[in-house]
Amino acid sequence: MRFGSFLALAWALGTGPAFAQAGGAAPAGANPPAESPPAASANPAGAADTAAAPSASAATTYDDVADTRGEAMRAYQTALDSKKLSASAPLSIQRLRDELPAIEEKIGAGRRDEAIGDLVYLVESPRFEPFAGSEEGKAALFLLGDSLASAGALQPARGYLTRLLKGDPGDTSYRRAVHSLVDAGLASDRPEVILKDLDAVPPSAPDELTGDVNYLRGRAAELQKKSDEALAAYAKVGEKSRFWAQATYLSGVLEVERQNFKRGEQLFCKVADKKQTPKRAALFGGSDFFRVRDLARLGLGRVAHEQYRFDDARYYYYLVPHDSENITEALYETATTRYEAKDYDGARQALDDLKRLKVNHVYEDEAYILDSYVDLATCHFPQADKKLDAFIKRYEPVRDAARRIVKDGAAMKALVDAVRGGADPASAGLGVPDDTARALGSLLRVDAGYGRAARRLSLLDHQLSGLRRSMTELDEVSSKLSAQKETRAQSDAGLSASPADKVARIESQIRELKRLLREAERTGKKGPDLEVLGKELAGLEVQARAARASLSDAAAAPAAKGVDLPGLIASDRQLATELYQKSSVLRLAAEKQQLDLAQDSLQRLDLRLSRLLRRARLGRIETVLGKKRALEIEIEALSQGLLPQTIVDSLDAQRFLQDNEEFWPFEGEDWEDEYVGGEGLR
Amino acid sequence: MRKRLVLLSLIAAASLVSAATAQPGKKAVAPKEEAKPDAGKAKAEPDKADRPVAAGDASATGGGNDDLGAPPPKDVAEQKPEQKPSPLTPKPEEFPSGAAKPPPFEYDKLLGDIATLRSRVAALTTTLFASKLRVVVETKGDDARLASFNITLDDGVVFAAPDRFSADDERTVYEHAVAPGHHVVGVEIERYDARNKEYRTWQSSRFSVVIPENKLVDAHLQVIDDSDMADDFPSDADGEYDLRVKLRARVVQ
Repeated sequence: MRFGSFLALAWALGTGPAFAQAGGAAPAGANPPAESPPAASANPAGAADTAAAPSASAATTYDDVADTRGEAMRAYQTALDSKKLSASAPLSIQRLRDELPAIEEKIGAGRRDEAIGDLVYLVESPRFEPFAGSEEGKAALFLLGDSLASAGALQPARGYLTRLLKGDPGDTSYRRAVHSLVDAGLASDRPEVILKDLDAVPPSAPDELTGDVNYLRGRAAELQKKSDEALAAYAKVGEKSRFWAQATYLSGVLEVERQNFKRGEQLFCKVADKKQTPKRAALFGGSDFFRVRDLARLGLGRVAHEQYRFDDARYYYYLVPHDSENITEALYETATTRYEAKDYDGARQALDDLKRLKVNHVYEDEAYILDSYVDLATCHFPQADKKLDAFIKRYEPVRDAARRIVKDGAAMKALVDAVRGGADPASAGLGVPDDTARALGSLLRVDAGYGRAARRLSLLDHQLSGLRRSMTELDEVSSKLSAQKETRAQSDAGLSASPADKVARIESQIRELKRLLREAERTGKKGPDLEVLGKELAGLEVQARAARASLSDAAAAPAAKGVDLPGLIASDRQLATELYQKSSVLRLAAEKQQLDLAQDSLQRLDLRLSRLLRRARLGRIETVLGKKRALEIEIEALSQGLLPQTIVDSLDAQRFLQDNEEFWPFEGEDWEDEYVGGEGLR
Repeated sequence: MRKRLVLLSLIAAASLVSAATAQPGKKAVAPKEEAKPDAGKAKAEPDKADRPVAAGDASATGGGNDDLGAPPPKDVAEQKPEQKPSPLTPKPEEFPSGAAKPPPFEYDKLLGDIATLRSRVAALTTTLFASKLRVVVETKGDDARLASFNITLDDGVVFAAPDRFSADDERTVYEHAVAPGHHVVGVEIERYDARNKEYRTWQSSRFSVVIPENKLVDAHLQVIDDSDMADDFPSDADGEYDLRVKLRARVVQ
């Protein structure tokens, strides 16, 4: 395993659920080793540096301010006041106390958007200012900031949360604000922006706060490939921080990457060994702590494996509990370690334990090959040959399907989404047999980057769908203001007859057509008609994309702008249209990035399966050579008068008796020169 | 033993090559300028063979000959047997190539702008409209589980169920001020059967609801699943999906 095992370690780091909270960013450790840097990844980075120079300054300017966009709401309040339309009920501490639990309940029930609307209505009211310093006021600010952060609106969230960082660090709202900002930073792709805000946290703040901030600092440094800074920051994370285990484990990974195996092992031991773990670490770490502990045990096993301490490696893998989600990994690694230690019985036992789990796992293909190689090593050539032959028959179509799907964006996305969502890949319409689709699904190793890209896209989609409703609401408000007494149908169009519905129908029909074409290709039907259809379909796809992009143009409703209420509404309506257009463009880019990552996963699967198939074919050659050698040994033994066990057994007369026959063993005189059978012969 | 044989054969092959080039009286060695392209070509071949098939690379997919993979690296013979990686060792390129490129800062800006605009509009409608719509959801079905669940109002999603959402008891999922008049309440559900996850259903229903002036309308959605497909079809190849969505709207205030 050697270097590959450390790559696997880093891979586990990026995808481990324990790090979902930490944003799941693939850390520096996820890179291939230094001796084979991917040329493709180096060049775009350099190109991006020069191309992104102008936007970098714009980003800095944007990041330096934590604008809540509250002025726009206050302008509405003023305009409503002038029309005597603003709320007349006075705001009081009691009213805040009454309303906040209901808002918290909405957040708990997943009605986050509604809660944000309610909170903005409260917080951005001029009547709120006198209560902003009260406990209830701070709670409202925290809830609004935290909800916006979880909705992906980082800048306004920072605006509200940093207002709470001006108080006493021991204060509850202060602590909650720091925790929320750290979580937002871990989920963000640019944690350094949040770190600037968190500079306000003094070193004298409680350990749990400084520990959290230092963990975020370490993660940010690691993302920027500054491992010294990351190690220094992780070292400052105390046991009272909820990230102590993560920080210690990641320090271990960084040390191992630097080949400081002893130091890395010591750090892993701190998490893995109960005696070395600080008493309160598990208490503050929550359920994530135990997930990280399993990873640390795997890490210890891999360090031992790297140093050829095979027995130590087996012990560490054994420590991974059976109910852990890393158990398949631990058993597979155990089998590999035992195989390399030439303890083939141990390898066989670990592989049998793995089979007994009866779960699909991402090591299925590799475990299959290892199983055959254990048979080869123990001279069970027919069994090994059978297994290798079955492997080739099972996985060659899977590899070919991966190659086909990698060229089809829609199928690729459907497969990766099915894997991520836990759905059956056979129902994803991939145009491959069900067994192949399921095998593809179980083998695909989707890395953390894909999860982040999917999250970004889903946040954007959610906001876009909400924005459509807001555009309708702005039109309704305009109508209401222009004709106060009139009640008219707000939705007089036919059901599912909106332009968005029509485009969605077109897109679904295109998807279905593509699936049919894939099915036709799979069945081997080729002809000029199919090619023409394929070209026509490509043209239709372009038109559908154009239709999708032009949706927002059709929705635009020009109106006069101004500082009065109708003017403000018109401004916001125009802003909504612009945002919709920009979002559509950005969405395409985000979708492309997601597809690129899916393609990367499939290409890596192709590489892996190709390697294993080559290995399987070589293994079959080995089985033939092995059988030949066994035969040679048998002939050699025969020539020396030694009979193989199969022949010895065949000389036993009792083997050939029918049910109605009896055997009377020889009881006469024993002649020395008479051959009486194979007893005792080897 | 097998590894040693491979190593020995490689060492023998390497020594043969060096011995051949060292023979006196043979053809003169080509100048460096001429030798370079060949060396480059020889190096490029294995890369191509071991590389995954890129989109549109028809030559690589055709015969499937690239299963042979790349020849072993030249320095294999120099490795000590105990340091030689196991033949089952994955290659570095089989692992993720590192952190994905982060999105541009405009993405953050856009999300911030949209979220605040939406909150502003929500606050505005709360002030201007006295009519309200409340959507209450209740799901029925012992074995049905929700994979995704969205409530839409006039084509905009107003509620998206979080993970592990369950509405076995009535749950209010939306309550907000709306303009009086006709509105379209929609429900989009994806469900799977707890007995067999492969049996899934997708359902989208829309209902036109009238909201009177200054009134609160309670829209009670019942989402019922009495399907037995996951249980019956695998055993006797005969099953049934039975899905219903009922909406009852009434003015409560």
